[in-house]
Amino acid sequence: MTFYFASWAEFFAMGGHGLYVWLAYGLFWGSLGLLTWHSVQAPKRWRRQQQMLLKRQRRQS
Amino acid sequence: MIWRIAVQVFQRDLRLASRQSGEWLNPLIFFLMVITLVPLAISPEPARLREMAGGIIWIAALLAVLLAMDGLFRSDFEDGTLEQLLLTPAPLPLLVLAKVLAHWLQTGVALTLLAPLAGVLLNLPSSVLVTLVLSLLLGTLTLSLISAIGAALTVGLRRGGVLVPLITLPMHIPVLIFATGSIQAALSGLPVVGYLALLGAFLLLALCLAPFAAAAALRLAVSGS
Amino acid sequence: MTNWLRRLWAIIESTVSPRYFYQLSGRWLPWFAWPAVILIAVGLVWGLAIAPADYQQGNSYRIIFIHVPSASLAMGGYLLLAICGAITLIWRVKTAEMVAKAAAPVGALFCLMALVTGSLWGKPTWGTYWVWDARLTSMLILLFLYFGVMALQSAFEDVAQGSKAAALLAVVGVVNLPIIKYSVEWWNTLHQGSTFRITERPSMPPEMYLPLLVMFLGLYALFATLILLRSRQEILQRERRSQWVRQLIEDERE
Repeated sequence: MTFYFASWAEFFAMGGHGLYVWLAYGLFWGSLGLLTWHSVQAPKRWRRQQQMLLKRQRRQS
Repeated sequence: MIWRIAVQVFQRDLRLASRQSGEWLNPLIFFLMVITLVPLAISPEPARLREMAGGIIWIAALLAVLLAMDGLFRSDFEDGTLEQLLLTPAPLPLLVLAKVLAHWLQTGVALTLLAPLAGVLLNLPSSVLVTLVLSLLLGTLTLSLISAIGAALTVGLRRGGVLVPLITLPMHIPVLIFATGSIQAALSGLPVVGYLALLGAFLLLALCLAPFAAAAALRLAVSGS
Repeated sequence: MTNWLRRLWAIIESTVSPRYFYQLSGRWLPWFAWPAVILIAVGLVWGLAIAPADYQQGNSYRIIFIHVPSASLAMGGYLLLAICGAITLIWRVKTAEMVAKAAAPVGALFCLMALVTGSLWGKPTWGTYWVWDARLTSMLILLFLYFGVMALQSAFEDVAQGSKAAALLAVVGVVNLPIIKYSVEWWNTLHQGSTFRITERPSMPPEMYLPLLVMFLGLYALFATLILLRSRQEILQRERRSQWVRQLIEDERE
């Protein structure tokens, strides 16, 4: 298993196409990351919210 | 009995339309205005207009049909007639078809009659006008049928009219492509029978399927869930 | 005899209840999440750093490792919406509604990403950010179909009614999809002036299609993970008044 690029500088340059490759990868993983974070985070937040609601209901009754 | 109900629905819609001329007149005026906008916005040069005429007329017709679609079921929904229609022994898809046909006579056919005027405005040669009219005749009914599904899906929503174009435009694209294709072919002197036959096929498909989909959507809207 | 049939139907019905799906999906989740992480990590390193550059396109071709799976998932996602829609309409299974609501944004995002990555691939490779060829145009129309379903899902105050309307739209849309694709392809052949076909893909050597395969699997696993996660949340929200959800929330507290 040999790396194609000789150095990190070459890796980031991507033979002159660096802007496009990294922009594409960046947008792709960035947006997917946001969606994943939201999909994991929203349930937690909602649960905390519901627990507070239940606690308040208990206290009132 | 069933046919009588369907005919009654059809006649009622036409009668209501004749009393509210604004409902069906507005889309037609809209159509002509959009046609007028294009030379103003792009170029009045005759050769260019001729090239684009088919597409412009068809897009204007498409938008006018969409504009008119919101009223298809809405007034009936609001005054309770829709619920009554659901209770009749006539199958709902048939009644939907009756309503769409009545509506099409007000919009699609009217547009088709205006189309030669639009063609002249945009410098289409008279030999092409026949193809233009035929494509509109076949196509606008298909558009009305497909848009009826969108109108039925959004009939309960207050701002539903805004959604109908969004949800139905992708499905109008095949009709648009082949209708404008027929006009371009006519401009080049090529045979148009194939295009019109395909438009006819789309129409048959829509006639068979759209009423059922729209009926299902109406049932959803009326029952609430 | 009919008693046995009735019991079988009851078993099937309980299987598809939101509560059972919630439990089932909880057990499935790690089996999709971990492979997703591993496959994507391997695929990224392989595709970006190990696979050789393309003879004609240079290094810009590496975008296909995310572009091609995105396009495939975009289409698969809409198919999923249509299947869930059909199940919702025919058998009135609530769970299918909720999965559809959860899956729509995921599929739409992959559709958008397919367009964006495709555009960024097009610029260095063929000199233009966008071209109205059959594949790209169809993908753009697919994005609009997604928007339509999502708009309908969120336009109704009664979430259940909105989900059912969106289910009908998804089924109607999937019936139209082959007609749209055919029409766009036909339209494209008519207007094609260029001598090269942008969507033609030469056969790939294994050094390239193996990392693509890994990314494919990884992204599909990620897709499944996201849908399971979001479906579970949708179920909890829709069923929040039921006993088992309240129990669940209380148990979590301790």
